[in-house]
Amino acid sequence: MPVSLRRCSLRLVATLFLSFACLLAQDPTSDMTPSVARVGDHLACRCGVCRNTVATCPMLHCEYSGPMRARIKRMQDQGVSDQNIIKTVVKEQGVVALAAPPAEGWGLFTWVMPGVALLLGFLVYSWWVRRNRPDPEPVSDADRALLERFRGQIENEMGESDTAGSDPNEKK
Amino acid sequence: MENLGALAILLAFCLSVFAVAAALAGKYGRRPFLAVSAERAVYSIWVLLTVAAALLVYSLMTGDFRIAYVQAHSDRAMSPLYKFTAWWGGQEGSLLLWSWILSSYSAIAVWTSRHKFRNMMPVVIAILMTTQAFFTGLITFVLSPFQVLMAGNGIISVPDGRGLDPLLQWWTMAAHPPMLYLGYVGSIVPFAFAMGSLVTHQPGEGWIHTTRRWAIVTWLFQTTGITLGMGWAYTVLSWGGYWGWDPVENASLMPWITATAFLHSVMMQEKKGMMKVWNMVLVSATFLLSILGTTLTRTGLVASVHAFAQSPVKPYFTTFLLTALVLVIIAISTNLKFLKSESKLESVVSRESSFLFNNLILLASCFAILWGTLFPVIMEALTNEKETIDTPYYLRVEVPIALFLLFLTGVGPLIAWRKSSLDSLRRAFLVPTLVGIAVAAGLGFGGIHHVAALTAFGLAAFVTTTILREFWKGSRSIQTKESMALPKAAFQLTWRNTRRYGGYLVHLGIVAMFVGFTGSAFNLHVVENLGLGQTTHFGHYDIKLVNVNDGSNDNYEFSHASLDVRRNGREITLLEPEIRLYKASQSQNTIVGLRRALNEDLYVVYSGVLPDGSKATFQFYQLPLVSWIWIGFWIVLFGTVICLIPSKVRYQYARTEVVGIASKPATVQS
Repeated sequence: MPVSLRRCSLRLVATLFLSFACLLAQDPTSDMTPSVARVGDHLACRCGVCRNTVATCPMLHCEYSGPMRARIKRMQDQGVSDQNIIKTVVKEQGVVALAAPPAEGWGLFTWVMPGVALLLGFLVYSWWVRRNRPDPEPVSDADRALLERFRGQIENEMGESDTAGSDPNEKK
Repeated sequence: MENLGALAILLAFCLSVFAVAAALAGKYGRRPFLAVSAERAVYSIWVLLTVAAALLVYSLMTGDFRIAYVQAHSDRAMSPLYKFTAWWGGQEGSLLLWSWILSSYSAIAVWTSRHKFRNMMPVVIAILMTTQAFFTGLITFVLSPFQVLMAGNGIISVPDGRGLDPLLQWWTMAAHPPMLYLGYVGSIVPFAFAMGSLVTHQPGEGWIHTTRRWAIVTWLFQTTGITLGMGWAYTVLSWGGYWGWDPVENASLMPWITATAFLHSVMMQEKKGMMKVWNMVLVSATFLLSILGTTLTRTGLVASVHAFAQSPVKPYFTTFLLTALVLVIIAISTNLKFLKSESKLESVVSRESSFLFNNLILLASCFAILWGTLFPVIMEALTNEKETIDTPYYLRVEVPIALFLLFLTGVGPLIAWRKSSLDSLRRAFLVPTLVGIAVAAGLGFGGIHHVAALTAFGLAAFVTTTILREFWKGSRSIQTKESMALPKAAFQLTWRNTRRYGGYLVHLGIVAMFVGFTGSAFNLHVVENLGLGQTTHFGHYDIKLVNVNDGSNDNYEFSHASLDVRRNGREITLLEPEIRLYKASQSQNTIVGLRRALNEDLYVVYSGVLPDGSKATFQFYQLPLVSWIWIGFWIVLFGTVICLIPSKVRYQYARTEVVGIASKPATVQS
């Protein structure tokens, strides 16, 4: 080991050991494998600081995700399936351990409500469009031809005006 | 000193109550002198709260540790900047800041509109001052910033304070809370004007123009505050992210979304006299969500790392919020006749229709966030079982909504008012659509197979093309007609209609931000232990640990690492991440080593040394496109400022009726 790093490290250890003790623990991310991440993605990191999952929590010395990754790895090594690992954790801690509620029971509301809101929004939109449509008035063929002519003229003029940088409907 | 400060706040509270009573008595009792007296009370409250704020800042600066707030949130070693920012570092001080900003806004609103809306101003003042009375009441009777440290019956002083949380000792965090407050509190002014116009049945849309300017300014503050918060999270929290979907973060986003919807739909009311109920709902929702955000931050209603500790203000905030909600519902539902639309919709394929559609998607997004934030609280109340809703929920629900909104950002401005023909739609959308498809296909063939990211990049190209084409067509037209250079023509184009082209620039900024957000799909992260002189290869970089040293100053102890970063053998930067231990608070913090670039950021967190002292541990992040978020923000800021500049040419058109024929000829003023 290089002498300068040893000197620095010893000073660090000497001066900061008590306060930085948590920094000196073993690297917990060594437990992070793709199979651990697969399970960890379903579990919330409950450290109380971040809103990540056990798989995505980036805190090196997280008090929750680190040990949980190690535990998942241990259980996988013992041949426990992903689903059973999740079930075991939920049995111990409740559904609060999951990163998002399951799509069943009350948890279903979590996933359904944004969709319901969107659907309601579309219904309101359709209602508004129908309500705000002008009543059709009987128009003769001659009137219709005249209207079309004027409409075309308006569109042309507005197109020219628009490209010149002005909005003819602009009102200050 | 502390007595004077507390007295100033108490008088401000009393004057707020007086202003509410005087304004309403003046208006409904036909006593104009009382209404004028209420106006003057508003100015007096500002003076009193300025005195109180100045006294608290003076106490922080001079280290008056007899005052509990000063002792809890500052210490002697802190720099003057952070002593000043300790004003809003704690619950009591930040409530004083809230109150002071509200009094400032109220004074400006009353001063600038007192003659213009003589009939409506008493109601506006009553609404503003009710809110003022609530907040000054809190810092008078519940959470006084001037409470002193007591031992028995005597006032005591301590030699030094506990200091400000180290995480807050950053310039971005110094600016983030005031900016957010300027945005949150500012939403009360458009709300007060909207309710004032509703209650007094204000004729015409003059108040809308006033409100719109206020809304743009407060929207800009909210945007700045949110972005500063993201910037702070990115550079200070050492996790390589900028948004964590924390309830308090969500609380800051929700009023921003409704304010964005309002800024779009209010144009409908200005131009066509449509969507009046909708605008009332949006402006009220923005105000109520601002209060909800403040409630979430201050009451511990939801678990959040950003929230102030549990405090006794929960019942007060909840009561205020619910009362305001009920009053808003009553005010709108009893005045529906006044809010009747003046025009009809000519076509579904029209700007009017697209505005409502965009509004609905924005509100769906807002609702999904609100639901995710409050659902665990609701569930706990109903079933006594805790639930967690974290990032996966928000990503699954919000990403599709955000992509659709990005699409509408490009579509909306190209659809004409009243009606668009299929031919004009084809002309407007053909090139941007082809560019969007080409970009997505090119990236797909280039090796990117992340579907959401490909869609986002394609849509970003689509929207950018629509905006640039608008600038190009308009500038070319002016260049041809008036024989001037293209840049000058572009300048003229923007100046002639600042609102429209400023709005396009804002959209361009939002696109740039979306590009930055999309980059997160390709983040890389590893943890490495490095010995001195050892090199590791990460992403596009070769990183060598050059040195580690430690030291101390008055404020903190530190351990500092130096990393030489090379790419293809060429040295590109020296990164110097650090760990700090703050002496006063005994809390630690990490300073990231960060190399910013347009394509990707290299982000290094120094995490300490291994127990045997042989190696230092680092977290390396490669974060693509993050810089585009900050670039996008500057474009949004620039575009919004452009929107606020009056146009060179003023077009006045009578409001269009059913078939869009002007009832009187257009007039042009220059």
